[in-house]
Amino acid sequence: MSIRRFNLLNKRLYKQATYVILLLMIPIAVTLFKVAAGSDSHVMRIGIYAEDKDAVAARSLMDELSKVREEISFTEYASRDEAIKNVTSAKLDEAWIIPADIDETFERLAAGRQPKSTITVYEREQGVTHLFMQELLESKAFKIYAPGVFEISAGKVLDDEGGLDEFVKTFYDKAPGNSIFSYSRLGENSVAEESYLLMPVRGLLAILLLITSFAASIFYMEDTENGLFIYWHSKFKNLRALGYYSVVMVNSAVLVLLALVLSGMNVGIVSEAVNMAVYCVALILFSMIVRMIFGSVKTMGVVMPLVVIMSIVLSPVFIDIKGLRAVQSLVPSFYYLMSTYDSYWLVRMCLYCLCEVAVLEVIYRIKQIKL
Amino acid sequence: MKYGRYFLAQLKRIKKLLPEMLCLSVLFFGVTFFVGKTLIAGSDYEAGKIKYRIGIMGKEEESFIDMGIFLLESFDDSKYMMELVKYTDFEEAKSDLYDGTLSALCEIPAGFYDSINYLSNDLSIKYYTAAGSRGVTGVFMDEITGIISDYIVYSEAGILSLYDYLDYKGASAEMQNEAVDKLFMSYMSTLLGRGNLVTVKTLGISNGLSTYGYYFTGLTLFLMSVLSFAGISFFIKKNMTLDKLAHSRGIAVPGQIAADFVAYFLCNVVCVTILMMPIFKMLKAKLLEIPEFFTTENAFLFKFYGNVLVAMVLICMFELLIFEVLEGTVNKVIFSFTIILSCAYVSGYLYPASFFPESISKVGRLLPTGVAMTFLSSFLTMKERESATLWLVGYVAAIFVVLCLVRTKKINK
Repeated sequence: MSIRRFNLLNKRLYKQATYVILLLMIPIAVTLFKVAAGSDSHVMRIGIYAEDKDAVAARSLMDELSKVREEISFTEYASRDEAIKNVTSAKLDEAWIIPADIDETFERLAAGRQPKSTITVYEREQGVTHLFMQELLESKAFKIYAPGVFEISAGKVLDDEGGLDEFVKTFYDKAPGNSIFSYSRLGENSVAEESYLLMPVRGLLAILLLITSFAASIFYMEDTENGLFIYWHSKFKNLRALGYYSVVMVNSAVLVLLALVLSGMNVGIVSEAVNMAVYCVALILFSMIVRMIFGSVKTMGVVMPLVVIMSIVLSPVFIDIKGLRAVQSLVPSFYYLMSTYDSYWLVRMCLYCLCEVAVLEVIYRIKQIKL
Repeated sequence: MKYGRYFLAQLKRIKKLLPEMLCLSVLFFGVTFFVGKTLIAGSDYEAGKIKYRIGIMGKEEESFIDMGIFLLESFDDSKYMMELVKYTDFEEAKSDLYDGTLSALCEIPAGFYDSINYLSNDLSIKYYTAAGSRGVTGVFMDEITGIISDYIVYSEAGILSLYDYLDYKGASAEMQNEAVDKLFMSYMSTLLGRGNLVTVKTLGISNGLSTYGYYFTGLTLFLMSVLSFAGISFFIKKNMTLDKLAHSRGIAVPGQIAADFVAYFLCNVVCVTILMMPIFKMLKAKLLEIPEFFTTENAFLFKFYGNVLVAMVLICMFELLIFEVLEGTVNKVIFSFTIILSCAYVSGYLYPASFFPESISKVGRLLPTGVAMTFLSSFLTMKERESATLWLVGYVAAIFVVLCLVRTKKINK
């Protein structure tokens, strides 16, 4: 396709309000998500009421919890009833009631004895996230009474305990600073830590590109009906369609790339560009297959929601469902979202494109339709 | 009479689409059911049901790994959250992670046991997840690694402190080793008995919805929202000829809108009624267990069905407005879905609204999709019924007025 034809098609597209709005939706969506990610939001909200606010263990626990990542919020309550009431009315996910004798509880735990009173956790229903929170509370408590375990053990070794206090005071300085775990995704690309609200942005942009590819099909059908292709005769109609779709996709793809780069959600411009290019080819071929199978604007209107919903669910936009890879591998957005961090999936996306070409050819031959 | 004829004409138009709509409704139902299963599987928990499959990869110190896995799976509370699977071949483990058989993989480096034993911590366990967005689960998985680190690091601090103290006191090496072994066992027993610190009290869902109830409500409304796409042909018209003709014959715009709405709504009622039957059957057979459905007697299910239809009035009205405002086939096809999907997302149909910042949650609640959600939730919780009903009625009336204005403007163009 010549540059002149590319420019002419582009000019026509920019005159279509639908297309311009679709393009504008990309920066708007990213900006909105950025604003949302900057706001106060939490995956878990915990209310804490300490029966004795001056208890050393209670204060230490609050200090430790304040260092937990901000997605989990901890709020101190002045009233036990209010905290429990807020759990009942779903304003809080859990209420933790710290007993007045929490210092003694920690002492008993350090001595390996059963505590007289415990921290009561109020929750509306059981769930895996509640178990996580319980583990978090227990680990923070462990950090506080761990010096006590040492003190009791050391006290039992020798009769003379002189100087032991000094070693208890410097207990935390002894903790090795190196992390026990180092996190990495499978694959060579990594991205900076991002808010959990920003995590679906890439997925939603991928879905927006999928919608754009459907729009390309609809524009193509309209232009076929309006006789545009009388002026663009080609022996290879599928190749002509590929060129047409590419013009529609290229603007959106560039905007998505820019949005990812400017918002800091990218893994490197070259990797992003290569992934995006292959994804666009996969989308174009996918949309061409759908068009050739269903063939009318109205049917596309029905098929598009189905495909988009399935793509959102099957691709790791919000959650990555495990154990359904065979079904997941049917949608292009799955490959794109996985290949961002790992070239293993990029290779598979290329293979997927080849399969699409084969399917397209088969359908073309079966239907023998005029493009 | 003329209104009746116009209504019948609309009804005939949509009746032609009914078989197609029914087939597509079943398809949409299948998709929504799949969405529901996926969403609930992400937050579901039952004691004894394994959630996360974690691979443990290590070539050396196999007895150490075996013992660790045995201890965790036998005595530790974490057995309710995860299943540990041992690997000796990294490629096999990687392949399972790619396939989604594993949620995460921990690679224990050679010499890690010595590194911990000598308290140097110069080696770290590599914790891998597959590529892709990590989402909310990633937030919790990060915390879990932090929790495990805390237990190890502060136990080590205790052991190092004990060595230093006994050195200071001039204790023999033999005495030191014996004391450290005892301290290690103390930390181990403290660790395994950590659950003694907490008493959990489950209050139940006296107010607000349970996780199952929430997703059930959201997805029921989501299904109704996407049903309109099964009948998209009803909304796609090339020009305003029919509307103008009806207007010239004395059929006022409010009458036209009412007729359009009732015809479209009735068609949706047929689809929803057919789709509700298997849902009710599943509820009765306990294949679908929603805590809010404390009874599955017909009277209760019928009341729920009635409330679904009332919520559907608002959704149908909102969709009618979207299709009326949008002009052109392409716009209707592309943007109607984008708008409805965005509204459903912000109103918390697919993702709990409490995850969003307060300002976005508020916007989500104020959208017609959010008002429908509040209304249907209020039936299941039996709270704030009056205000939810008032909001719904107000919205239906307001949308009707806006629809009349838009149609009038289009006819007079």
